Formats: sequence, C-alpha cells, structure tokens
Amino acid sequence: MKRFLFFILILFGSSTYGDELRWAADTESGAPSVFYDGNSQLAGFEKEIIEEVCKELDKAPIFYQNDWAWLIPGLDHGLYDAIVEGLFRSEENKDAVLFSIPYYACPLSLLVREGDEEIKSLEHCRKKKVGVLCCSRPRIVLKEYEDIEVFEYPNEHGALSDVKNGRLDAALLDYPAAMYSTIALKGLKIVNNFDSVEYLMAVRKGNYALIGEINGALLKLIQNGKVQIIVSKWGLTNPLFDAYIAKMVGGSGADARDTFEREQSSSKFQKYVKLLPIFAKAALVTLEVSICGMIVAVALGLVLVLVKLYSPRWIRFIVTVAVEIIRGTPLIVQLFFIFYGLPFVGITLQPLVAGIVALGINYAAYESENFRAGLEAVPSGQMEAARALGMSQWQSLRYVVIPQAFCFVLPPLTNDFIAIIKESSLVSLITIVELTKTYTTVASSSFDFFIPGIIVAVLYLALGLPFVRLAKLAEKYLALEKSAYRAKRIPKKSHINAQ
Amino acid sequence: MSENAEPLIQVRNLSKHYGEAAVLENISFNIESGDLVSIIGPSGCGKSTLLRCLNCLEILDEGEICINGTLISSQLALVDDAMFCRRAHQLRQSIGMVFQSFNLFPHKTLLENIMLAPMVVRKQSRELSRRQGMELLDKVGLANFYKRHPWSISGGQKQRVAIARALAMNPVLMLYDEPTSALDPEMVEEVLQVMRNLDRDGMTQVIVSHEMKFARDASDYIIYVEGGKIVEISDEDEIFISPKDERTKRFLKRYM
Ligand SMILES: Nc1ncnc2c1ncn2[C@@H]1O[C@H](COP(=O)(O)OP(=O)(O)O)[C@@H](O)[C@H]1O
Ligand SMILES: [Mg+2]
Repeated sequence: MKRFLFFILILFGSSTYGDELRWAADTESGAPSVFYDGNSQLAGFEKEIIEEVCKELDKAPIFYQNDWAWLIPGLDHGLYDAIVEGLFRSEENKDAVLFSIPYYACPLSLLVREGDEEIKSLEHCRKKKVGVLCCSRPRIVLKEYEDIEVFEYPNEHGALSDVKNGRLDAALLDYPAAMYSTIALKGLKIVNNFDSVEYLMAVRKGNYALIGEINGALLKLIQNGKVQIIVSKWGLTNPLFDAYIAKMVGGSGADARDTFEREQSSSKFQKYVKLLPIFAKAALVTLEVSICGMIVAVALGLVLVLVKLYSPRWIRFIVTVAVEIIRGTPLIVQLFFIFYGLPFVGITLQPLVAGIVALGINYAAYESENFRAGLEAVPSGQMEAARALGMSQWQSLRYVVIPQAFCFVLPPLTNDFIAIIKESSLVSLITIVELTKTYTTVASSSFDFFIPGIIVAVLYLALGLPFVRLAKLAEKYLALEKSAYRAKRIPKKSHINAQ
Repeated sequence: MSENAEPLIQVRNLSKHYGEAAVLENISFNIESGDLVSIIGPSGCGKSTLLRCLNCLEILDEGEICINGTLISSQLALVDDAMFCRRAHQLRQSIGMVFQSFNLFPHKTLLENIMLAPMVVRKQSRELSRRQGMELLDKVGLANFYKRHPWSISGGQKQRVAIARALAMNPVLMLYDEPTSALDPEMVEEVLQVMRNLDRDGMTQVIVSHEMKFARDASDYIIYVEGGKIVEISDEDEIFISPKDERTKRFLKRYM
C-alpha cells in the first residue's frame, strides 16, 4: 500500500519543469524512430537526436510514451513539453503546435510483396488496395488518388503483414519505417521512393522560449555534423536529407542499422528472455492500477449504497442518476473524459491517477449495486434488533448489518477484481505503459505478435489467479455463514422508520 | 406497586395507521413498575405494532407515550423531529426487546452478542462488558456456551441469549413479542422460567403471547386486544373465569 501511495506521489510530483525536457513519442511505431530494442532499452535515431539536443540545452531528457493519435492532446495539457515522433507539418496540425526546424527529411516509399512485378509506382496502384498509417504524410498524398482504395492502420505492422498475406496490394510509408520494415519482415521490397516529408519537433503553442532553444540546438547539431552522424549511423541518409543538410551547412557508416539487422536475426529465444523484465514491470503497473482502482471502487461503492439506502430522497435521486450515467456509458469514454476532458475545467490528473479514478468510479457503480444486494440479503430483523438495543442507525449498520452483508458481497467482489485486471488494459490509452501496451509495443517493434501475446496472456492469468482462489475461499466462508441463517426463521418483512 | 408513584408506562389515546387502515385505535393504559402484563388477542389485531410503538420502532400517528418519565408524542414528531429522534433513541436504550425470531447476530459468539450494545452504545469497556456478559449468560443458564455461535444452539437457548442480550443494557422495561411461538413445545418452559425469575427480581415486563397458561399463572393482569382496540383489561383469573366481553369469550374458547 505504501508503495502505491509513493508511486502516486512521484507521479504528482513529476510535473515540474526545471532542468528537464519531457518529450513524448509512440514506441509502437517501431524502429528506427523511437522504440524498445532487444535489451528493452529505448532506442532510435530520433531518441538520439533529442538526447543530443538535451545535452546542448543542459537538460535531462524524460521520456513519455503516448499513442500516436493522442500525442498532441497530451502536449496541450502539459503532460510533456515536446513531441519527437516523425511529426510533419499538415493542414490539420499547423496551428495546433509550434514546430521546430526539420531534423530529418526523406521520401515516401512504396512497399510491395517480393515477386510482385506489376506495381512499380503509385500509378500502378489504381483500383488496388494500399495501406497507410493514420494521420501520416502518405495518407495525405493518397487523398489525391480517388481510385485507390486506402486502408488506415494504427501501426506499420498491421499494414505490412496485410501486404504480405495479400489483404493489401501495397503499403505507402515514410522511408525510414519502410526500410526497417523490409529488414524485420522478410518478403517485402521497396519499389519506389517519391514525394518528401520533413520531420519536425513540436512544442506547445506559445512556448516560444522552448522552441527557440530547440531550434538553436538543432542548428548547432546540424552544423557540427552530429545529426548527420546519427542519421547515417542508422542508415537513413537519402538524397532529400543530404539536400536539406547542404542547404543548412553546405556537407555518412551504417552501424545502428547493422545492429538492428543483427538483432532481428539473433536467436528468438534470447529475444524473449530479454523481454521478461519489461513484461514483469508492466504486470506490476497493471496490478497497481487494478488494486488502487478496486480500493477506490469499494470505498466509493460503500458510500454510494449507504447514501442510496439511507439518505433524504433528493440526495438519493442525484446518486441514482449518477450511478446510471456511469453504468450506461463506456469505460473508455469516461477514461478520455477524465483524462483529456477534465483539464478544461481546471482538473488535470496525472495519467496513473486518472486511470485509477476512472476505473474506480466505473467499478464503484457496480460495487454499489453489489453492496445493495448484500445489505438487503441481511434479514431486516437484524437492523431492528440492533435499533431495539439502542444503537443508532449508523452503529447498527457498522456493527451488525455491514459485517453480515460482507460475506454475501465477497464472491462477486473477487470476480469483479478479476474483471478489473482485464479492463485495466484500457488505461494504456492514456499513456500508461501496462501489460497490454507493452505487448503491442514489443510486438509491433519486433513484428512478432505471437510469443509476446502468449507471455502477456500467461501474465494476466497469473495476476488473476490469487483472486480466483480468494473467490473460492469466500464462497466456502459464505456457505458456513449461511447455515446461520438456515437455522432461524426469516422474520416477516417489517419496516423501520429512519429515525 | 405504591399508590402515589407515577406509573412506569402511560399510554394515552395511541393510534396508528398503515395507509388507510387503522391498526391501533385510541389505545390507553397504564403499567406500574414491577408488573408482568400479558397482551393477548387474535393474530393481526395489532399486538406487535403496539409493542413496536412502545419501543419507538414505529412512529405514532396520534396520542402520547410516557415511559420512565420520557415523553413521546405524535405532536412532538411533527413539531421537533430532531428532539423526537433523540428521545426515541434514549427511550430504546432503557427498553429491552425480545423477538419471536430471536434476531441474534449470527456473525458474533453468544458472549459477543451480549457485549456489543453496551460497548457500542454506552462505550463501556471490553473488560466490564465481558464480566457483565458472563454474569448474564450465567443467569439464563448458558455460561458454558459463551464461545458458541447462535447457529449451533437450540431455539430455546437462543431466546434465552436474546433475553440476556436485552438485559445487558440494564433496561427498566422488557418487551416480548411472542417469545415462545417459534419454539418447539419442550423448549417453551425454559424461556418462561427466565421470565418468571425476572418477575421475581422486580423487572417490569410486557409480553405478547399465546401461552394462555403462562399468562394466567404469571401475569398481574391481562390486556385483551382485538381489531386494534383494547376490548378488556382484567385481573388474570377474572378474564379466564368470567370474561366480560363476548369477543374475549370467543377467543379464549379457542385457546383453552
Ligand atoms: N409494515 C406494515 N405495513 C402495512 N401494514 C402492516 C405493517 N405491519 C403490520 N401491518 C398490519 O397491521 C395489522 C397488525 O399487525 P401486527 O401488529 O403484526 O398484528 P399481531 O402482532 O397482533 O399479529 C395487520 O393487519 C398487518 O397486516
Ligand atoms: Mg405479531
């Protein structure tokens, strides 16, 4: 318990600026931009560039994971200060953030199956199916080709495996992603490079100080050749990049690319063993979110049910409506509302807190119903006897009714706990890196959804197992307690005035 | 029963409705300290409701009740609800109630059943409550059972524990609602014996019962209720030998 509180405190405390540069990327987009390498270390050419920038600015880089689609909303309400994730300027985002000068430039690459001799360029894709990433430069380019059937994917992996298995005819990706995909996923080839895209860092609108600092640092790093070294180390140089650099300064190796290539071909088993620590860490996060969420749910659920059963009618009405709203809307909507919506009224919660609050409130609604059933299962004669002994209503509840209701409530409660462990996977949508998020991240950067999937499934089962046992124990305990009721006659329902 | 002292219980013009139906109509009687009074009458005539009104488990619609100097009236409930609740709460602490269905707390041992109210309501120390609880269990002949849970004892024993539990709050008045109706015949006597002992010790007791023999032998007097009204209040023998009212006669014929 102490550990959880500490964890939460750290999260609350981490929103300081100081000498940190909090930057975000989506590791799910895979190599070579920002991803977790075979040793579960953060890697990628963009990560190296931002670290150089931080060195220049004498700030400590702090990495935040967020989903590609949520990177800008997260920036908006101050989760982090900068995005470094292959962002390019588009009609949609040009007013949403402040962009830096480019740190990389490249063409778009058209990928097809090896052995496909028909498609040589986008022109050949007419009437065919092409996969792209949502909100990517290729997506915008393809808007001009009305007769190409476009499919949007949340990550490269989906698009590429669909090209491989024939669901798509081609995929259009940024050059770095395309090139690394062909290494990781055999059987694809790049047939055409065209168009261009420039990668920019982004900061919050109005944060001119920071964008100025970043531009200064980038310019310096381009002039002293550090950016070029990193880019060529990852094997990402291309004519467009050279032209951009030449424009900036008037002026390449392939080490990192080789490393990535080596890793992809290294022993699978070793790769999986190396994954275990990050999965273990992620399992802890899942457990933390679930346990804290359940504590909130139980406490709040108890308050809700007591209010519902024993308070004045108008309060009861408000609570009933609130419970119905919570039960009638999807958890994912509540989650986004609490995380991205509440900041509009001045309540900004840290991701973990928001996740726990959302899960807690959601489950509190269910627990209150569970508790109500439990309280009503206690014969009314119990409350009456306690009141007749001179106990107040609260004392009667506290010492007589609630302890007895508890054993009716325990089995469904433990079942809900197993459910909350599974549903906690939704908090991955608000930047919390728990089991499911780790799975998709690892899987999409290694292009392997199979074994990591099994590892994750086993971990989820292992987390739930103690609670399955607890549910069994609770049921046994309940059977024992029930015999207490069997032995006596249930008195006719009588009414106690709330006094 | 001194002549000039205030009666322990004074009930005046008590009425109670559930919706349209009047359950009690214009009930008035007094009970002196130390009396054992039986209330008899056919099922559904309002006996339980009357007891529950005495204990403020029900709110009275009309009339007033004065028990041990604490006055509760329908007027008060209307005028000052908080005051009414405070008095009702105070009153319940000095009245013990025993139910037909025992209503022991199944999650507690017999001793804990008895200790609970003094500790919670009076904030009495655990040590003292324990000592007192053991004395009371001894008094009802169940000292050896103190560690047992309610489900592991017989009905008669449960009712004796329920009486001990009520006595733990040192009540000035004990109310019993058909205390022996849920018991097997051979267990009735052990419960009645406890009540006889209490009567000997000077406890004031009001008993709703179908035990006519007990009512006749032990009561100081008997209240006969029918249709929510008091039909007859009479000396215990008188009512059995020569009931004044035709309705009483009919009722007793079925039971004797
Ligand atoms: N909570 C209640 N709501 C409505 N009617 C009730 C309620 N409790 C008792 N009654 C009615 O009041 C009448 C008297 O009940 P009760 O006092 O239990 O009778 P007795 O104990 O003499 O059998 C019955 O007709 C019963 O139906
Ligand atoms: Mg009754």
